[in-house]
Amino acid sequence: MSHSGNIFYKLLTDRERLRVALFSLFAFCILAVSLTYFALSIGKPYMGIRISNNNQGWAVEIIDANGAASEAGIREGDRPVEINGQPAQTFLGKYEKAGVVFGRLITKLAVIDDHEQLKSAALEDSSISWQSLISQIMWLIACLVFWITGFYVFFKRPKSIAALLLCLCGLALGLSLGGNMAAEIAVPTALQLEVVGSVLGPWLLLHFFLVLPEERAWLHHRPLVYLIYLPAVLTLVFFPLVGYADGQSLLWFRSIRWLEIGVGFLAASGVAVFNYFHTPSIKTRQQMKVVLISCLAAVVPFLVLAVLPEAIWGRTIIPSGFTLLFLVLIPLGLGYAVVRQKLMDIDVVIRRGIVYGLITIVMAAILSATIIYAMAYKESMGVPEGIALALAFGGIAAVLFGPVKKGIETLVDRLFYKDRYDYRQIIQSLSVSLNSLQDFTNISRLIVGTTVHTLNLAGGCLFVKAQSGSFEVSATQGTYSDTSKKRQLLTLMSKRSHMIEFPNSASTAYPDLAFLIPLVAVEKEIGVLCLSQKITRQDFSSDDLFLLQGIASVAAIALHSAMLVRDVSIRDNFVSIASHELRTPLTSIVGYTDLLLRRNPTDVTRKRWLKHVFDNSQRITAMVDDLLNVTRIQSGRASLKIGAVNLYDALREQLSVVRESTDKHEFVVDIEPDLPDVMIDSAKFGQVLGNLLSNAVKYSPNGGCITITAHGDPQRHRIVVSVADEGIGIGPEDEESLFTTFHRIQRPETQGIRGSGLGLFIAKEWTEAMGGEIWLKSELNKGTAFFVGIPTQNSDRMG
Amino acid sequence: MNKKILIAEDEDDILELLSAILGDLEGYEILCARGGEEALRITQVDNPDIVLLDIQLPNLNGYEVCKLVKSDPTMSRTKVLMMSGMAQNSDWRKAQEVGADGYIIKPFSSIELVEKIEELLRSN
Repeated sequence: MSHSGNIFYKLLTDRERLRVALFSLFAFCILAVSLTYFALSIGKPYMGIRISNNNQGWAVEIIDANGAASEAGIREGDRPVEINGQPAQTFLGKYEKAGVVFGRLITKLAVIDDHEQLKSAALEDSSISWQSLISQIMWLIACLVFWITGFYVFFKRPKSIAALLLCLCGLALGLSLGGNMAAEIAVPTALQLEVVGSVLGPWLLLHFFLVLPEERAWLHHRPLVYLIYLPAVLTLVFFPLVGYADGQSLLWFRSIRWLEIGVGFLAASGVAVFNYFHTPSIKTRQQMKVVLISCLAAVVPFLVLAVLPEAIWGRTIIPSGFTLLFLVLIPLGLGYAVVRQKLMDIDVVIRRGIVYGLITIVMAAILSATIIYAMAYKESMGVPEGIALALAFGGIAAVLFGPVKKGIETLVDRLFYKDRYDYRQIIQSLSVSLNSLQDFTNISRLIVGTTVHTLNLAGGCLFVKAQSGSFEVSATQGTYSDTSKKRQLLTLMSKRSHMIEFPNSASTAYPDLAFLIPLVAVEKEIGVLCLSQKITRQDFSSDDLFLLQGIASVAAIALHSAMLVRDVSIRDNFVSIASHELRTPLTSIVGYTDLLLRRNPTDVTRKRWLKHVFDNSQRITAMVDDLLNVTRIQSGRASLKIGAVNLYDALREQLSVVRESTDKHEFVVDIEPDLPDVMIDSAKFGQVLGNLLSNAVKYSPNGGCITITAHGDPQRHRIVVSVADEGIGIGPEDEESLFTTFHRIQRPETQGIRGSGLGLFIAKEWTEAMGGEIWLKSELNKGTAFFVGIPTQNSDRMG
Repeated sequence: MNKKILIAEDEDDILELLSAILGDLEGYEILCARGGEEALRITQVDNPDIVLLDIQLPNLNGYEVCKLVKSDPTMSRTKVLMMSGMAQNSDWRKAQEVGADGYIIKPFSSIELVEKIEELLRSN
């Protein structure tokens, strides 16, 4: 095994290695059988005939132009008189039931034609024609290429199901071609394996096209997909029972088999075409383009050079055997589609191909016309005139080349690339419009709108970095306006790595997404522009990329200045809301102390008043703590003290605090036993839990059950803690801004519920700083459940 | 005849505080409401001389209550004194727009409150 092979082999687990080894053994067995069939039959003559029983008795029905029968001058409609040394009636009598006899059973044949002329053919006397030898060799070459491609792809991507299927397709093809040839010529029993190969082949191909697109990875482990093999399996089961008699397959069963193979191939091509038109991913579309173009390139020469001329003139332009060679393009195309990982600018390749093809035709036409005109003008010409004429033509061609190329490019662009534009103009006018805008939202909308509109995209979304460093949606358009899409994108943003975002690689993580473009101003990333594919599903041209670069830089500058303005107004707003939140408890403190100083209440009243003063002082303390936390988070100065924390202890502590605050609620605690310690800042995690618990109490004013659970999620190396209430719930309109500062749900039921609007913001920021994740499920008037996922392993995001 | 004062406030401790401050004074009858709708109903039925109206109230907020009171001729003689922790000019302007007769910013001392109330009642 080669050096690189060794490396790949080491990457596999023992089980995968076993799988590879078993499959290789199986594949090599099939390969050996197929090769034996080829070896036994190549170069040997064959009869190439079918005799069937119609109304007027037995007659030759189909004849292979390359067979020995055809060589001997036997034609369709001739009546057999002697077969294999027996009188024809005796021999054919055995096949009355089947009504047909295939050439493979006949080694010696004598017939009479309409003019009562006797013709005879015998395999031992004849030799194979060079045309059929060429066809046989070409079929073998096609099989060899398919096998080599299949094995190469399989060993290159041993974990890919598509690669395995491609390899199997090659084996099935070899088995069916080799078996077919051998059954006709040397080994009649090869028929059985030929049937297996040919019946399974198309369905393997269908399966291949179903699982090849990356976005259909979910299909890989669905057992239902194996139902597509049902027709093939049924055929194979019934073949020996009802489809086979006297050493050959019965005619009607043969038709069913062909029908089924036809349906299989149609389905496979249908799925390939469907994949091309309906995939959201550029990669899949390119794969399908490669496959479809290679299939066309394989079949078209065969049709144009062999099948069509044969049908029209009765002879081929070049021997049909040679045109079979083009078939090797199919396995090569399929293999390329599986192995290729990176995207290529295939539209550019095609456009160039069309442009230069047309140029060649136009130039050739111009030159021929000129030559014909010149010849007509002066029939005889000497050497000097000839040279002058050649130079003149060369000159004309050189002069015309430029304009012709330009004209054809414009034509091609107009026909195939309708959404072309002048990117410089777009950037300039965007820049002017952005300068005239002040408002942050309008600027964001204009950026997304211009990009989506100009490039004809399905959707676009702009994320900007908040002061805390997390991303917020500032404008969306098209398909990205959907709330669930936005959330998906946000998750993707939090996990993205700077290495994979420009230009197209993002599509592998999220097939609908074409670009994640970072917007950078003053050496800082201030936002990210997420863009989808084009509505027309065309690939992005180089002009599109220039436009995106331009928009990114113009947008970054505009957003940066708008952000500075916004930050100032946010700070003003922050001060105003904070002062209001502090004034309310202060009213109680000032009022009651004032009363206590002026009056002389009873002991009971005095105690109650002092309790009010105390409670409101506590409220102010909590509020000041929250405000300090928010300021710390927003300035990026928060620091964590990470240590191993027992979840159960942390939950118990917070629960005891919140239990005291209510007598309307019942608390249910369900903690999985033996949970590992989590690596978190225990004080900050306490705040997260405390905020969630106190929200659960506050937002279920009618009481009810509050359920606290903690369960391990070993797959993602985390523990998920949830706090669920049976309260008023959260509507979709609030879900989006729920975790922002001072957001409070404005509904009739919530008026009168106290809160700073900072709790969830702090909970989210602390959770994310500890490498965790917070999310929720809620139903209006049914209740809300918050989930906090905390890593069990030390995360590198702390600091 | 006793003057009727309606206190509309959703926070229990502040409601208690205000009733304690005003209830001790001679010649006042105290009514309480914890929500906007309740405040409006009591104003309609009992025709208080003055409503001490918090802005942040459940059901109907203070601005809405004030607007309804002032637009209804059967209630419009009731004076409205709005209370809020919002200390910005814009909030006071908004209160004037809905017809409030006075505005007091939290926190306030008992003397301040009583002076405001008496001033409003005198102007009647």
